[in-house]
Amino acid sequence: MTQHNQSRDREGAEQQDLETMKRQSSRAASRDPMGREDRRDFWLFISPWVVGFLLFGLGPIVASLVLSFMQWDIFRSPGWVGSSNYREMVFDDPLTAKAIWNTFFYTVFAVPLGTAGSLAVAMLLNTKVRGLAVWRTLYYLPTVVSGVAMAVIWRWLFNPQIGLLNRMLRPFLRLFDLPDPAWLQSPVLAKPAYVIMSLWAIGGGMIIFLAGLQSVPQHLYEAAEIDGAGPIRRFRHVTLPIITPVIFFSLTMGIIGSFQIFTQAYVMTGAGPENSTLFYVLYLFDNAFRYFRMGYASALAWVLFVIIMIVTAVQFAAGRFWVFYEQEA
Amino acid sequence: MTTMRISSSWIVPVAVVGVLVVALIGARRSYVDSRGRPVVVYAHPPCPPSLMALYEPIWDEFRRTHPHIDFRVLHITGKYEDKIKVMYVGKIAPDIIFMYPTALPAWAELGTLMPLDAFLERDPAVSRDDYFESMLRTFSYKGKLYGLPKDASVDLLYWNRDLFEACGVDPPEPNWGWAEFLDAAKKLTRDTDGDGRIDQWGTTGWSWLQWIWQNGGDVVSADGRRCVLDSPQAVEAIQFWGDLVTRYKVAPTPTDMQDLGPWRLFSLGYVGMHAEMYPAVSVMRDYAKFRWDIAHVPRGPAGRVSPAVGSALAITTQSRHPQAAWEFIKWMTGPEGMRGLLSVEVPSCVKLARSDAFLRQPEAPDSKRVAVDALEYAHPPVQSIYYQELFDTIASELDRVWRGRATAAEAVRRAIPEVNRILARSEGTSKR
Repeated sequence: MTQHNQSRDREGAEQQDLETMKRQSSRAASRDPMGREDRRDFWLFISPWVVGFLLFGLGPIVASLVLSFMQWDIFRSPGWVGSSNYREMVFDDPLTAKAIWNTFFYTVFAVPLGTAGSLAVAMLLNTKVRGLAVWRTLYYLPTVVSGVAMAVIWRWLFNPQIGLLNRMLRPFLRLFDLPDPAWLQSPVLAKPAYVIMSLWAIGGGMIIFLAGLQSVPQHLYEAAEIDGAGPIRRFRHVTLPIITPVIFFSLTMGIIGSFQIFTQAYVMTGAGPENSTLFYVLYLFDNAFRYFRMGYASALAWVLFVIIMIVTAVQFAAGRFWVFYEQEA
Repeated sequence: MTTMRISSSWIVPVAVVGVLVVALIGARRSYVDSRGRPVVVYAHPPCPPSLMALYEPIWDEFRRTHPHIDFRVLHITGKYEDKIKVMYVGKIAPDIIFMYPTALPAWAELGTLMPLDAFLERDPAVSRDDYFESMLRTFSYKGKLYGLPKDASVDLLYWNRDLFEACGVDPPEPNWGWAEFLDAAKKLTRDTDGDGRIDQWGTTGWSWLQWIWQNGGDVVSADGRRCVLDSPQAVEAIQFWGDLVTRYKVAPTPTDMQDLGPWRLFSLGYVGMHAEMYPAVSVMRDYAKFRWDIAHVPRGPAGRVSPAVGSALAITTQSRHPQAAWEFIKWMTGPEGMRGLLSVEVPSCVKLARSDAFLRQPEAPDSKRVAVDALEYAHPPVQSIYYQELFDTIASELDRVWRGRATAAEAVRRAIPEVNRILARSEGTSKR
């Protein structure tokens, strides 16, 4: 009680100081709310970030936009070519369509499976099992591994003869007299192999879903149970609606991320058998750094940006119909 | 309680920004050292430690014999060409860089390399005749020499002596044609453990390019404007190459390769023959558990041809001491420099390559003479600034032939419009 009073007294004293300061600067406040010195300090403190952002962020972005209208082989000065890069990309280059198809295929399978997987794992690890912390750590660990290391490991796992995956599948395949899948060597199976590999990293989504699941109010579950809802109906009518924002986040970020898949393809297969793993960003990279076509690569980059923007905008628009934000209710 | 005014610690943010700015504009290299000697920087590509152990004493020897030059070696890790490109754009390019035959045209065309003809003519100590003519041609572009050849090699036929003897096949002969080659490959292919699948092959397919050239075909026309893969000779050659895997089944399929690549498969003893460059002998000595040797690649209907795969040293146009740089590349590619590398490379210096110092070395391969004689039929690569893109395009189509999903004629028909489109583009570039 005494302590409480003391803190209130201190607050009262501070309150008085505040009033004084406000009165003193009230004239200046209308023109300069923050105070000149404070403003200078603000800019000084933020200047390292601003300089970094301008030099390494915004600057290159604007440069890339300008470059997309030019032809630049890195060594000689760029030359203006107008919209010919964009026209070539759309009308003349068969590989652009192939790259978009490859990326689209990968995204359509990897993102929903990944999100569903993350949710499933999160639900399993939201119960009181033994060694919960260990399990959560184990599932999250793959997201910490560098993309290159992950690609090298998975390359060996997918090895048709001695890889772990085929060794596990072989007994089942032999039953039906099926051959060993050639995974990364096969034009048909290479992309599914990438999808399988992406599922290794569901731990990242799992963390987000765990947070979402734990924010579902317990009393709703109890109420549903009292009303006679079994676990499946509880999930469908209590859990799912409340975590729709988390699902939305996971799907949106997942799509933005999978559209940009690069590292694994660069390390494991390159363009792959019959260009089946020529993902969009890999094709962009090849144009920029191997084919001496920086301008064309910049145009590719901006088209990707526009595609991702449109897809994300559509997602947000559609989200109004199925995402339920608790605060709005 | 008094707090220090934030504004009096403006030192910190300003210092941080200052460091950033200095770091960005401060990237420079030195051109003259403290003693006034010219600084010559040579960018050495990624190199295993065993090879580095051979290079270090050679470089020290150069420093010892050329005390008026400050010779420095820049060790590049990661992607060599990318790193050099970045250095070039940042105006801190090294004086001397390493060049491969296929990369040379692009770099020369884009104005990054100095022509060396004038140096060669003016220097009394060295002349064109000192080097293998085919190598000089390989590293020339549009009539000018851009790289002084360092190690000379073509794709040589490596063969597994133990496997040949076990299958009762005679060693490869210099006058082997495609038929004899195929015959030997068939005899070497067998199913060793009786499980119904072939696990020992006669040969790998190696590169399709060589078969095309041997049959008299080519990839682009002489003027570089048209793709000529649709000539009957080229199509026939591509079909033969694909048939090695699909029809005659003497070469491993992509699945059989176990993701190892043809070279590894050979060095592990699963394949009887493979074509590779000479410096691979060092890998073979370390890893191969069988007796092996090198031979000439089989002779094609239009003659014996093999792609030139050596390396060269070039002087960049950003070098401020080209004469000093020339001192190094002349010395390095000549007898003094290459003497230390004879165990793993064939020198481009004719006298040294034909000397006992190279030919009489005790370690495998026994037939070192083949590597030297083969330089007579070294074929320069297709020279195009868009080399990488061309070959990615062609290879992805020919890939289907190798997998049995298309005939050579079909694959070529699909590749030609794409290749012509790329070639048409490079025409536009050179006009600018």
